[in-house]
Amino acid sequence: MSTIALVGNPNSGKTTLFNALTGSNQHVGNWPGVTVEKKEGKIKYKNKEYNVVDLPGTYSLGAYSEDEVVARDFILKGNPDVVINVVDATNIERNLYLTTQLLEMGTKVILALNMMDEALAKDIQIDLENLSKNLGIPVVATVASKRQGLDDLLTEAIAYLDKSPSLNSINYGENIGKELNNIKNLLNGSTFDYPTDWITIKLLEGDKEVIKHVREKTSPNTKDKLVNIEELSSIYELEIIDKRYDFIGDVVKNSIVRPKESKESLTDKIDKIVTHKIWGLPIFALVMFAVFQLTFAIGEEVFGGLVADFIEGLGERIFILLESIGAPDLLTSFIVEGIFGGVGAVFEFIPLIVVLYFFIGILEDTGYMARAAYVMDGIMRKLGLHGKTFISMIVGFGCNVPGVMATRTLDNKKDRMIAILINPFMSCGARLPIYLVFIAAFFPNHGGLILFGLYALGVIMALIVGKLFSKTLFKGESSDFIMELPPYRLPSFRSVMRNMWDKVWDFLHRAGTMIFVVVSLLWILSILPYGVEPYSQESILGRIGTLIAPIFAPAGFGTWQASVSLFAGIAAKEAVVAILGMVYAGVSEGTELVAALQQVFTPLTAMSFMIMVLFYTPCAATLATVKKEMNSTKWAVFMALYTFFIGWISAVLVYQIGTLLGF
Amino acid sequence: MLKEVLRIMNDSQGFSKSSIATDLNISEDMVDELISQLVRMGYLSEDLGSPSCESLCKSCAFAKLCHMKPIKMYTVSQKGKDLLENLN
Repeated sequence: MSTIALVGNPNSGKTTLFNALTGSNQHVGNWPGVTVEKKEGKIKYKNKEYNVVDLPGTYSLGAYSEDEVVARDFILKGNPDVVINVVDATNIERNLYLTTQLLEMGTKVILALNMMDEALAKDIQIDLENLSKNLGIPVVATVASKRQGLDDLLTEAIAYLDKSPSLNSINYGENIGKELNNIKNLLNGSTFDYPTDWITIKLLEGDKEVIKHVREKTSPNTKDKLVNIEELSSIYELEIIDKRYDFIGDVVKNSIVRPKESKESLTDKIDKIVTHKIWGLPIFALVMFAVFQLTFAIGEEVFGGLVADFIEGLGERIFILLESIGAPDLLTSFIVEGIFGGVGAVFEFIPLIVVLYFFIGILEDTGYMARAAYVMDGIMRKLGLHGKTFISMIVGFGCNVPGVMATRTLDNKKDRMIAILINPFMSCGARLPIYLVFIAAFFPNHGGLILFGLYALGVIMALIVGKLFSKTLFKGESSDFIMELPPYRLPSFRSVMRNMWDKVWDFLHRAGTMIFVVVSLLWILSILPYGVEPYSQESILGRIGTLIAPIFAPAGFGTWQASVSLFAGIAAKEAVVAILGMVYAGVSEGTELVAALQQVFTPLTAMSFMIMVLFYTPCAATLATVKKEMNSTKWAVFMALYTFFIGWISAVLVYQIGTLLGF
Repeated sequence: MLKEVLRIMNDSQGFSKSSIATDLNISEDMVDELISQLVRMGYLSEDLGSPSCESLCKSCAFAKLCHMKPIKMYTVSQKGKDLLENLN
């Protein structure tokens, strides 16, 4: 019974073709000695039965993987009567590399040009006759998923059984040709398990399996003459592969017409502007500024009041309900002031978060964020920092925990230590509600500018500290990398909405769990010891705050409430707003947080408070991740302390200089 | 072509497949294949710029906050650097 082997790249539709040819008449096993799956089946065509073998999907027939070795050993040792090379017609350049290797094997190959329907849909015109002529093998168009072209393919394959294989028409050039002849002469007289022509090419290519085979099968004299083959292959390996691509290039040029591509793609035209050496950075800054402005314009002015009004209305109704059923004062206080005043204060900023992440999602989906990383990469390199650091910084804008984890892509330990230590300066999503509440209270007309300034300041501080670390704690050379700028695409609505929803859901989830727990615990501390006025300085919470408050006095916000909220922020940053909401709702019941803050802060102290929040100690989850990633408690403690110091000194400077200037 | 692609990549900090295709007068699919070949041969190493975590994203609480679209990055390996140096 004749055997037909199917070989092709992964995703070329090879298995679909195998299933279409064999139907249910197939069985699955394993190739001997390896864990690679072996699929075999039988087909009956014109009253004759044929054995069909589905070889593992592979891009080449080298010795790089088990799949490659299994496929090439079957073709060379299993002696299939004909090999059908399944090629994805929409990605012909990639697929033809395997074809060139089949041609070198001197086997009978037929090209099944699969997925022709998709190629036509993409307006790729393939001249089958020319393609066949240039490759020197039969070519049949198929659509395996629709069972189209199968009869033609089988007719061609069966007709090929009685013909001799095509000659390898790849031109390797004079130098390689000379070396191939030399090796062939050396091998004369030896017998191998593989065709000598193929062995000759593989030896010059430095194929380790073939070198080993030849050393086993040749005389000591020939072995001695082949002693330099590895050295020779280091010169010619790339040349041979390049010649295969030259051949593919010629074949494609002569037989395929693609939709006209302009000399310079739109992506390249846009990139010339947005990744420009001088203008790239200001454009990035402008884009981000526009995003923050739009966030405020839409999130605050259009949707701003919706959630706040809803939460306030719900709180009032529940308060009335609790009063009407005679609920204990303690329970009423916990629900109205603790839950609605605290956790509710965090929820009020959902519209802004929704809008901000909607726009960030658009930037990511269009491919602009890769350009932003590229623009920043130039600056990072000039500062002696690794460009990949900015990728982890971008991740840190969402949350510092994955931001710290993203530094794993940095191979150099020095680069990674710096990237981890500066990541908390990237303002994470959890800090957003803090800025938003203070902006709403003191800078409602400059929200976009202030928010943009805070994020930019975080990046600038990260760069300064990174540079400082690279000159002091972690000296050494940075390694280079090259970034791929993907083509620009129209953002997908689904992808943008999903990105936005993921961020909002995480925000809601944390507010409903972590923040709820922190608020509940601190609420208990705010009403103890029993008999004390709730949320007063005499409560345990008040006493703790009073103890810490002097530290923040030079920064202008030395109140016990502000101190306690910052302390709670180390557990989770959202807790800062939640605690401010709880303690201020307590002192002036019914007054919303924004109004309460306007009574105890000034624009200057609000600014120094936001600067403190931007820089000071990251949350417990980030510190735990740093400890795990650096495998050191010492570095986690160092991060907690040094960021606190930077936050404190920056806040003090803002307040003291601002006071001197008369703000 | 492989050497030209490697040289262009080595000389830049960032590239688009379309710009290499224009420079070498080949298709973007061919550029894609040549880069994959350089990776397979060990002249380039590729990483996706996202965390290479021990745990699967499915079981990670922070998976959704990770970067949605990983930025593909390449590094010219020592083998690639040696090749380029020999060409000069």
